[in-house]
Amino acid sequence: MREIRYLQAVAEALNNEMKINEDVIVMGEDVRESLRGVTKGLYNIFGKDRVIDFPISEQGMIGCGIGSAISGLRPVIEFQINEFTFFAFEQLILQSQRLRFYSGGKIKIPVTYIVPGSGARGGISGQHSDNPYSFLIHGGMKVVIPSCACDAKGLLVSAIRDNDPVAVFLPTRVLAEKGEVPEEQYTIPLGKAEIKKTGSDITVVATGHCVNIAIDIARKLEAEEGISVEVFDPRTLLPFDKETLEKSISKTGKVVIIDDSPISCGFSNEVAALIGEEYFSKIKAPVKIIARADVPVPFSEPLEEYVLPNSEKLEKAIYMLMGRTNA
Amino acid sequence: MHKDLNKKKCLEIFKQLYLTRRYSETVVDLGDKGYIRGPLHPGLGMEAVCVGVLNAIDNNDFIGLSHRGQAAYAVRNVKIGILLAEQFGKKDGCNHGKGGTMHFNLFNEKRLFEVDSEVAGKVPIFTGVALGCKLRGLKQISVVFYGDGGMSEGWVHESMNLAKTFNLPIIFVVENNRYAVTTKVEYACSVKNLTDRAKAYGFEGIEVDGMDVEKIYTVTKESVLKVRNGSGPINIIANTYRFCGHFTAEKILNLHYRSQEEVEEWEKRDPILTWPQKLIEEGICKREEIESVKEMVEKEIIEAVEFAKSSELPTPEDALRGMYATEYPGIPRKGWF
Repeated sequence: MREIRYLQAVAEALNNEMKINEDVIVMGEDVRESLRGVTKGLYNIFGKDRVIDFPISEQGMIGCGIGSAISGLRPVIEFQINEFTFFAFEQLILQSQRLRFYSGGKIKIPVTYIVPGSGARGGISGQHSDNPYSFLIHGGMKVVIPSCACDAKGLLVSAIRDNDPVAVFLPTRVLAEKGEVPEEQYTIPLGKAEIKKTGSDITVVATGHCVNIAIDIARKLEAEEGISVEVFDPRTLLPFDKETLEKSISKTGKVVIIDDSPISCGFSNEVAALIGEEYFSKIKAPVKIIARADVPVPFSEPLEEYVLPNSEKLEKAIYMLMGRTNA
Repeated sequence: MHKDLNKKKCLEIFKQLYLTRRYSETVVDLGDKGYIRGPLHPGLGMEAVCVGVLNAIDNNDFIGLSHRGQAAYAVRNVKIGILLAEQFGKKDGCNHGKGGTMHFNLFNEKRLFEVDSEVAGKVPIFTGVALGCKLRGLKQISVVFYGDGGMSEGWVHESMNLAKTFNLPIIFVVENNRYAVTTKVEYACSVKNLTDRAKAYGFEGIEVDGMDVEKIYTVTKESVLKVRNGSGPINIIANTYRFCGHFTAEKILNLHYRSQEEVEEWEKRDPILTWPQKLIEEGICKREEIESVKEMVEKEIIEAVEFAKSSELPTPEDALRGMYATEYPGIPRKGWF
């Protein structure tokens, strides 16, 4: 199969979807020029009424997304920078996510929020380095974080076709990664995890770019130490596929969670709590978490590296759980 | 009298004004008696704004209401019973008890909703509705209501800029009742002339007497013509007054932000009194006709209260339904074992 980059897969999914369904429109800042690459070429194909550049007005833009959705369109809204979600929080949660519930389940809000380049990029410090998905999950919003090109295409199509708001985070550290991607348009259902590598000794729950970290470590430890690591990628953080997780931990009994968002009240803690409450009898050791420290991402390289999850931390956690002295 | 306002229409307008007033009074009374949970924000005294505007637009134009926009339901023939049932938290409420007083949503049925616990929070949304209308080539327009307090919200300014930048078919209607809870408009607003706000964003702002339903109707009619023909947004500032407190609990708070004399001065201009007076004086209809409308409304109110009282409460488990358009097993999670 052909290999394309993650970002190309995203752009292809969006382009195809706009061809298939003329209700799909794109809104964002600098989306006509496509600063982020997600909307590349769309303006020339679909024109000004379907590819709309917004002034820097995130609250207004999200409101316009909700409004055009309830009047019959299916907007895809690009956040140029991950922290723009904070600017628009009221419209994102109190309005777009909740309107359907307030209405007694009567109206639908088919909006997709794309956050290309989420997470730390190396030296962009405290405001541009966030992965603010735990906030959205707390607000009840569906959240998708594809870890590879193939998932990115299929999950984005599902998100656009979904009749609820869905936030799709595209981690900055995987945007340039190549992978096998079918040419035809396809969907990957929301709420279905994938075992990215099978193993029998320990389960690593990994999200976004941490999936690649986990796969690399898993291969290394299997080859060098004979430790069989299973890598579980939830792909959708809400709805979360707990059945697939249960199967994996029933087999291994040991779990490390690696996630690139702050630890407190974060997604990593959420998964640990779920295991503690529902699958306590399946585990043989305490759950280990590798997440971000509870500080903004600092600028200087050693400081940045210190607060983020990485291979070394994951490797050490696995050794600890496996009772190896090299921990 | 405006040429479109024939006798039938004039009486209809009176019915809408009176029904809204009686509905609001009934709600306050039922709240005091413990039938309705939570605070209430009636628009007593402000009915003419909504009635005037909604009569001047088409029935399929989109409306985003403020929390004092109860009159819109009367104009769009919403059965008061389903609103009351919603406020009673009952199954037959327009949103099955999920939204309550501050989240009436009749978008599918009547193209209108109210989502205003967040002050002016739906202004960006209805700007988006206008964008949707324009992009889809619809002839419908979007009309969004908010107060003088809402004028200071950042997202209102973003929306006004967007509306002009994209030349959207939207009318921003400010129900200027002079007080954002207790804060005077003169204190909170940087400009003396409130229409300057629209001017700053490059479009027309019109001030109108918000106690005079005919004037509001006329101004809106003229505005709709322009907006529907693609000339971009318009901002109507309707100067009005609420005869009651900001919310029902205010009467026990002993606040002093306005004087009794001021309230009484505005009460003299009560549209529920001045409109029928005008109709009788101008010979458009007789006092008996006004009285018979009132009787009809009283009957409607009694029926609505009966309906709300006799409707069933929802089953508690319904609390977890209606969150997502797609259902997933075990989601939303319950929060306990």
